Amino acid sequence: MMRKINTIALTALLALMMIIYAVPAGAQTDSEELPEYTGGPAEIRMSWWGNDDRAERTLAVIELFEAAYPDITVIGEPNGGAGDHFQILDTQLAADNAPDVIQFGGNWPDYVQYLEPLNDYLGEQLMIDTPETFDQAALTPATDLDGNLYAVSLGTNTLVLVYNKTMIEAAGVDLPEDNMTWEELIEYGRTLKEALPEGVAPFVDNSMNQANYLSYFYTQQGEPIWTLDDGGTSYATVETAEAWLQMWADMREEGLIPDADTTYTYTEDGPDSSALIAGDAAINLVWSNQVAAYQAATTDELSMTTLPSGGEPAYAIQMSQYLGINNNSANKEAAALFVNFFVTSPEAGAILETNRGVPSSPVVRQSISEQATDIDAAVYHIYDAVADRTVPQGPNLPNDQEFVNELELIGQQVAYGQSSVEQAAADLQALIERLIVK
Amino acid sequence: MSGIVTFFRRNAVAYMFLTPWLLGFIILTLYPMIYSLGLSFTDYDFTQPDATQFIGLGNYVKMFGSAFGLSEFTASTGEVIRVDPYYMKSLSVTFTYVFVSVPLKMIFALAVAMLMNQKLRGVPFYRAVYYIPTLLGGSIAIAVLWRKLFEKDGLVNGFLAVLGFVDLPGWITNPNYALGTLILLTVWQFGSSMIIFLAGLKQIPQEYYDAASVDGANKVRQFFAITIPLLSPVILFNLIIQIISAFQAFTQAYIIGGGKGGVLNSTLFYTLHMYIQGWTYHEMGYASAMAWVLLLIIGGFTLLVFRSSSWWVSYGVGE
Repeated sequence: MMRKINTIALTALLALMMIIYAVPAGAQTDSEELPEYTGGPAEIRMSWWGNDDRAERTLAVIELFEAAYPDITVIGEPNGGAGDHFQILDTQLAADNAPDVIQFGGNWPDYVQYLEPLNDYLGEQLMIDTPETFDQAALTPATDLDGNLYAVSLGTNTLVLVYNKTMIEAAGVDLPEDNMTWEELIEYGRTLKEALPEGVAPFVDNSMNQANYLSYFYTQQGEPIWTLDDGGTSYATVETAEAWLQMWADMREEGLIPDADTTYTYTEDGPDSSALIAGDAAINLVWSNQVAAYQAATTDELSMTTLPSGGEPAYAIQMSQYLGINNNSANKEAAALFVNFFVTSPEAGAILETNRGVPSSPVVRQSISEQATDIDAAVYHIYDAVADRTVPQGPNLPNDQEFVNELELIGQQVAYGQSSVEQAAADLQALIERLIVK
Repeated sequence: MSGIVTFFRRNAVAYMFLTPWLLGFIILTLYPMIYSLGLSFTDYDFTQPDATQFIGLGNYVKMFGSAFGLSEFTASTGEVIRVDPYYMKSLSVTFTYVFVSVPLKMIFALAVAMLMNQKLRGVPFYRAVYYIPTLLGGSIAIAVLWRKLFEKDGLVNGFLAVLGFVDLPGWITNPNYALGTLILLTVWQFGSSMIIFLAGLKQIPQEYYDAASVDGANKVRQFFAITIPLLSPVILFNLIIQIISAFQAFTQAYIIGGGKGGVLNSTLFYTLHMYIQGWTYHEMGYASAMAWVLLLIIGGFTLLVFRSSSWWVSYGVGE
């Protein structure tokens, strides 16, 4: 017992010393400052979703980590798209064969029964417990009501409107300005429509392919789709649904978005299948951490602007992804050290850049700011531009995946003229009400 | 007693050799099947196995409720369950697919097999070429290729534009044509049926045709009086294999529909719907029930074809 207390005291002291040591040192860190590993040779697995570029970066970080901790071997398991990742993960969890370190999104609460509470690792293996090492606000969305921390943020991201700068400049139209109202944006689209070549629409149809855009609009109207008020409340009304759907129906009517056949040719879940990249439209809704991947997929120059302003503040800078530790893992200490390395090591940060969002460690942020690309700079610029209208990230509507799928169907019914705006709005409202009680 | 001992003594070696397969069958097929039958009466979610509740026929009501105008019902657990609004759609998509694609594919395969059966130069080459699509079969690459061919700016529309057709739809994304392009894809993969037909055609003695010619029967008459009856066992075989595989079609629809049922669920195949319910929505109990209904449907159709075969299949014995 005494020995255990001694160990804890020693480790805590060590941790404290390291923090004191690390802070004045700023960005300069090397492997000697990493928390010590006390276990024997161990093998851990980590799984994530994303494209090849992300897999290469992640595997490079794994190599660095293994060099810093020769006793620990990490096996990387890239799982393809997010949908594939969670299907594979679900099967692995059901079969008691899930990786030790797992990447989650905002859906981590769905998996809480499988996650190791990380509070005991704070200051021991996870050096993320001080504002100097990690944004403390980034811990909050991964903490439950009882104060248990379940996952570590890999960075923040937000929705932006990405535009094809080359195309708009070639059309001789001014670039879009930040913080335009919805009316101004649509008016801008009309100007653009006149100047763009035949067959190119100003906007991608983002009416129902991204629940967060819709949710943003609802919040602007003062009617968040889902809040945790009184243990879970929706303020959604059918009027807002109708306003949203009508706005997009009008844009379709005016040719400001592509026709239905063109729209549904693309899945719009990444640069590989996007009307923006294919050159069918000039402006698209994209997650900020993915813009670099979109840029890599085209020779045209891309840039970005904010979502339209108006109404209540609604802009959420949100946690993009998290790493959690499987509570069934045989090597939790090694897993925690790996998570720590992933989010606090400047060397790891230099490889990961903003691929999973803007890092939550100020040290990492500072060290990568020197190598920031134009796209990174533009993302920071967006963060500044929306600073006075940001809100805390709201929770997803329960049964999120079903919501996303059914939204798309409702959108298709309107786009193909099988459903009126009124009918679709009623369907959308009914869908929200149903998923809440499901 | 001694009978059993003798039985085992005589067959022990056979059973010994059979054991690996038998074990595999029991552990990997029979047991999961029975287990899934049990699950089909529950609301099992494999990420929350402890919360599983017995809901009786709830999943089956959920499936067929919409056919009786139900939109929701109260399960035995007191929970209000919404009836699946897309189940009937998935049934109709699948039935359309089976009833259109299977006959088309059979006719096409037979026609090509008959061409291949001629004494022409280079027949082995053509046989190989026509069989290639089947080898590529259900591959993801082919599905992706098909999507690219038939999308709005795809090669097919590009080709048609050269011929003067403009303002063409995106075949794969238009709800009116999406299923049609998938049917085209499966008909294109007629190779395996063709090879089997070809083998059947080779078995028909040339003397029959010679005799028929002497009697003055023309080619059409020969086809219906000799080829079809003598080929009927092969037709039966192909028909059953094709019906079963058509009911189970999945990969092409999954890839072409982007993991979903395509635009307006126009390509929501039964198996795809089952997959989404089980793996995306975690309604594994419901998906199990759907699997059992599919088994019954396929079993029913197979039985029907077998029963009807006494009317139209001739084995050339005792007739």
